[in-house]
Amino acid sequence: MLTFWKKDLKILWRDRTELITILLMPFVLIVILGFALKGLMGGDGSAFEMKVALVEEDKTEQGITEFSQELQQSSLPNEAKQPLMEAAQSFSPKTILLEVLENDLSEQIVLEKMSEADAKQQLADQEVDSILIIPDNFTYHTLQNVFLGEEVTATLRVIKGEHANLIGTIFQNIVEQFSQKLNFETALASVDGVNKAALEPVVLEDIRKEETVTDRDPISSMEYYTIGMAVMFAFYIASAMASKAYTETDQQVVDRIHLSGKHPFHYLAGKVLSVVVLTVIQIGLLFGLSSLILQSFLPFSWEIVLRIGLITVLYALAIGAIGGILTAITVRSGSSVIASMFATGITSVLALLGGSFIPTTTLPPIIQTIGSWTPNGMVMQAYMLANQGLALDDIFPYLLRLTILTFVIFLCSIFIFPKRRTVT
Amino acid sequence: MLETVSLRKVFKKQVAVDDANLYLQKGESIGLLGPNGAGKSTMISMMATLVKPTSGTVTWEGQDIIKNPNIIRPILGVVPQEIALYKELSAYENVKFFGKIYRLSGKELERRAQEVLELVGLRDRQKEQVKKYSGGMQRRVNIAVALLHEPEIVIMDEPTVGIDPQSRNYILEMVRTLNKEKGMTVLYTSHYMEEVEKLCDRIYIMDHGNVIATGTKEELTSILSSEETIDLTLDQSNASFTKLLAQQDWILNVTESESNMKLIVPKKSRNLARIFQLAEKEHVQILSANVQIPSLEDVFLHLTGRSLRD
Repeated sequence: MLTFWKKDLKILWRDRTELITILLMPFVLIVILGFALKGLMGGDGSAFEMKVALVEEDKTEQGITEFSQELQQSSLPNEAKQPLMEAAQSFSPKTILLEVLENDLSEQIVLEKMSEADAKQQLADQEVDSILIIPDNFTYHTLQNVFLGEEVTATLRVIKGEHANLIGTIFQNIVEQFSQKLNFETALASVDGVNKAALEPVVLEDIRKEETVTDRDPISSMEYYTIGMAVMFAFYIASAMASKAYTETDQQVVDRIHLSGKHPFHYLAGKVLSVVVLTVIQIGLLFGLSSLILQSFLPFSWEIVLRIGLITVLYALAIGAIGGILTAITVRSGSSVIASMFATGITSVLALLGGSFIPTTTLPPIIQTIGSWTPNGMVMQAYMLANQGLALDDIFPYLLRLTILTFVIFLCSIFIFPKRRTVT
Repeated sequence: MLETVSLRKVFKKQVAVDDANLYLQKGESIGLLGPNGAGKSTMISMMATLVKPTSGTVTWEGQDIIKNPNIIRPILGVVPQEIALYKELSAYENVKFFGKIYRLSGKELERRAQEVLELVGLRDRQKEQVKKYSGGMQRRVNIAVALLHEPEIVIMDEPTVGIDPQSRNYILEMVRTLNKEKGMTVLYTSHYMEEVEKLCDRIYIMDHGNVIATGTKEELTSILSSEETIDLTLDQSNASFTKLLAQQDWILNVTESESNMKLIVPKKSRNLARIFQLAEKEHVQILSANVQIPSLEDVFLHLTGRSLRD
């Protein structure tokens, strides 16, 4: 078996054109797709920056003072007034909003304070993308609404520039989310009868951040397409080996091997092993290049590397099995049709189903289900989970399925391959 | 003895070999002569246990090798018509690889590798990739690989097709050496009559899947002992002259090729005179007329009405 394996690797190594296509072409595609579709993934970081003019008509201290006076004049018992007074001192929705915009979202939003006239002028001159107007009495009305339950509306105004409609809409959404969050917390407090004095300040961190299960950033487009292209191009190794088998069959090299009395399993196993080794090299090379050149899969973690290594080996075995069955069919039929069809058509379909081109979450559920049963689909999920730092337990179901599939395909290839004792 | 009895092979509805009987004794050199498409390759593929016959038997020393191909495979060397080598590898690497799968190893493998490369005259260029060789050199490596395990029987399927004369002569000499000096049994197929005449003790002639004649060269050419072949060279082709000759009942066969004609006629002293008379009648100028000793080509022509290279 080693004799066959070494021979197959030597032949592939000397076919420079095929080698470059298999090993380096995927990296070219990764770069193209990764840059072209940047922003598709959550981990791509800030894809934009917006300039917002802040028109602050509201005076916080004045609002609190007015509220305090109204509270004093209200019919509430004194024991209730004092905590509300204290709460009002610390509860400032405007301050919370500005903290989010100026600090938490400082990478995306540049806030500049100015008058309304200046803001409108700058919007017209396209020097700012949006205007946020905090109207007069905003703090006062908000306190009235929250603590006294008065039906008073405190409205933030967002004016979007036509030249930056998309960015303006995003900013508007941020402000709307803030308002909704604030209203929700207030309503919840009212329903539950929570002491409004003990109302916690609205936490707006989840407006900005996407939820992630682990501490690592969500996957970026470069990482996604590194994985996608790696698992897709592995199929080409399998079909390339089957094509070589066709050449050997056509040129009667396989007949020579039959005549030698060598068990056909050695020939088949040599092909499978060659595919496995090349797949490991290919995927390792792609992940390595992506890490070094495209700064993917950071921060570095040995745990994650080992998990990715395990997935790679198991996937390579699956690709080896696929190479085996393609070889078996090719030698048995004496035709290169299956290998060609696999390379030109079936690989693309599997890649689409498995999510190599676009995330499967954008596809219909039935397609997602089918895709989750393809070897590349299983492995894409496994790689992404591993990259997120999830434990082996979370990845294990995918790997188990993959291993079973590998075993079944390999058994089929042994069954199909022409036997030694029979004359063909 | 390797023997086929009533061997038949049908591919879909095409009869490739029909009721073929052939035998090889140990140490013999047997030729299988026939034009392209005669069924020679299919015949030897069945004898080499690579293709299953539709009917008939192939036996070695009385044992059925179709049911049990491993009886003969260890002692059989096959040189296919295709260059059955890994062209990305060197001659040395090819020889080493196939030697290993024939279970040679270590020093024995190295010794045999160098021996066969020496035999085929490629020892000095053994480290070059096969794809860089000429056609003749590739065919020599093709033969070398078949001889690695020192087979008792070698089957060669048109080993000199499409190669330069130097390599061709080298191969023919090599085959002669293998048979006469090393005692290998050789089954040699070709559509080149002169190769088969030179190398083979006995000859089988095949056409359209059938063995149409068998025997030594002398036995086969004696089929035409009552006939002779006349080669004519005309100044130009003349259809009416050709037609006139074909109409003569004393002319057995007329074959035309551009301005050359080949006639098979009974041996009579006045053949040439009658031909010249007919030529004068048609105003045809005969540049040369040559009475040939019958060859295997003529035998084939007599038996099939076609030349070997049609």
